[in-house]
Amino acid sequence: MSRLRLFHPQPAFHPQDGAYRLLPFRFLRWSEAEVLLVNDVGEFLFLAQDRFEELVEHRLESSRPEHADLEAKHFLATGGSDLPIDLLATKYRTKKSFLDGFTKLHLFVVTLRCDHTCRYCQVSRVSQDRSRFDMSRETARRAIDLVFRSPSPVLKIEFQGGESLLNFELIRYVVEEVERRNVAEGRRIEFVVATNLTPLTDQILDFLRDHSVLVSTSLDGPASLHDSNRPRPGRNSHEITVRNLQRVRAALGRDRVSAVMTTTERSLSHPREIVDEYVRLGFDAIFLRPISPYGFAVRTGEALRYQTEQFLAFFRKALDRIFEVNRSGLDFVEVYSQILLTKILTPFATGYVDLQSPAGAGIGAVAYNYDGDVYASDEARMLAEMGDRSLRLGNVHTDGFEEIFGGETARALVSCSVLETMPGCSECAFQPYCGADPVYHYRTQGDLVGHRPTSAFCAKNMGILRHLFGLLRGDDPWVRDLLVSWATRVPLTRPETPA
Amino acid sequence: MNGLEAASPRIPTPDPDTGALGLAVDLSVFSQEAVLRTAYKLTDRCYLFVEREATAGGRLVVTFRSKADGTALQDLVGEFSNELIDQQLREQLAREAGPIREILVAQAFAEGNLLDPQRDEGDYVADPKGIGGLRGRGPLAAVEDEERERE
Repeated sequence: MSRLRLFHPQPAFHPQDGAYRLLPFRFLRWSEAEVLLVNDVGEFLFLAQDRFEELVEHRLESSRPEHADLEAKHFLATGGSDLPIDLLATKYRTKKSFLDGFTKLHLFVVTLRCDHTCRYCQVSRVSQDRSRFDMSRETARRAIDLVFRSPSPVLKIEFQGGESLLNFELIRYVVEEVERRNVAEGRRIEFVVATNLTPLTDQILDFLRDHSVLVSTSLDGPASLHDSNRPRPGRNSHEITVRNLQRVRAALGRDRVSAVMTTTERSLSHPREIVDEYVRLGFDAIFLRPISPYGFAVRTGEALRYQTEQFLAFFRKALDRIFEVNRSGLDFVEVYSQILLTKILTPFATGYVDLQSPAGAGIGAVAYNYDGDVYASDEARMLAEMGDRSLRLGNVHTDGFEEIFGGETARALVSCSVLETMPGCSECAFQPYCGADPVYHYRTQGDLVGHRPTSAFCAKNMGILRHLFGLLRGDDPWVRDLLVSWATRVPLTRPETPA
Repeated sequence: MNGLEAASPRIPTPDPDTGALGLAVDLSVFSQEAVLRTAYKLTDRCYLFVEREATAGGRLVVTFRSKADGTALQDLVGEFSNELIDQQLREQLAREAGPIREILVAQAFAEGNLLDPQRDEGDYVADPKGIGGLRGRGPLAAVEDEERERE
């Protein structure tokens, strides 16, 4: 049965000056002259200081163009219409749609063995000959049981190491077993193998192609930098990676393989060279990542060698180089910026678990260690390899789905990562774009919530968001168009001719 | 005047003996919550001690103490004073738009029933909480009801 809803009386369509209701938003002093307003669904507006004062004091005249902008973007509402709330609620639901379906990403740590001895390795590696650090079939089978307990219609299974391909037989088992069970389950499943590509064989390539497995590899930049960061016997990691990258592309297709880079202290002085190497090798994107403070990165001191400010300076220089590449007519994206811009410029959510509230730990992603221990994230697993197992959710051999995903640790990780309630974050204008990383803060500050004024996670995201907003506010329309194109995934079609 | 102690806009100077610097905040102008939120933001750069003034009451005294030599405490007090105004404004905005925020989040997650978990116990046909009526009149009506009740 429907209810008849009448039009509001005519005065509702001709509001008096100042007769408006403020809708929820947060603000940040952008400059001496301007204030940045952001509402709960991520819509934003720069407002002159005096207009801002008029707005909050209900003195803003309805004839002002800012009044219309503020109403269109749901910072204020006039009349008695409920429509703004209905629209905001729908948008809010869309922004939080990552919560729908529960855990989508399932990481299988199939072995801790590795042939590399990377300086910054986030995993406590062991040598290749210790097969007791391999995941067994029985452990994998029980982990698969848990994967299918997730109600999500979309499941992503990622194989991690160590060097994951050193236990290729288990990867083969998991893929085939998941595919067999999925005939009845009918989920949409994606497989990714994270590998340094060294153990790649034609037999492995055939399997990856036949089962549509995506490949994610590591590339830190030009050979000298890559080989320095990623030593292996023969000191030829870069050469092998590049050679096998071409083999994977030839066998699976160019778009089936991606690469991630890690920023070490040595990387800081080579932003252009790193970007150029990715371009030279035919990638269309780069993910500029700082070092994570886990595993060997801590033991070797690598994680402590540079500060967030230095990373931000590196990030900005690399971004400038990426702009130059795009100006030359080549579409090339920085992935972290793209994730943030998607949140800033589109109504959609992203699946990136580190920038969610509540955090994706457990509810977005879960990691099954080689021994069957389950962790809320790969980082929580790394922490356990360092001797701290306090973020362990359970074990596939002894605990059921409810104990693992609904247990005390899982609940603590969620409740301590709701930005809307966290000190320093609850009033932050960048909140709709940001996330909480309880595992990172537990590791670096000894507390799941963390202390924002001294948090490197906060400093990094504030720094990058300020830079991106500066570019969006800046005086180069070409850069603004480029950033919009990253968010919308519609490449720019008009390469700029160099002057 | 922003409800801060000094009658003139001068920022107080550090105590020559202790190096600390005290600022009294008038609680009739600023809330305790705004003071604490502001203090939190500066905890990376100095130590802050917040206490209620013993004699007059109605004021909080915030004492700033350097973490390291060379910290310009007066700059931090200036930053604190400006940030305090913003925090007070945020509180005002939260008072005004907070109920709407609750409604829109509840409406977005209506299936999850965030406002009152007890509703889950009720019979949906009997509708003991009048949810059908609430939605029919729209969420702003619910906010107005709440405001009317408060008055």
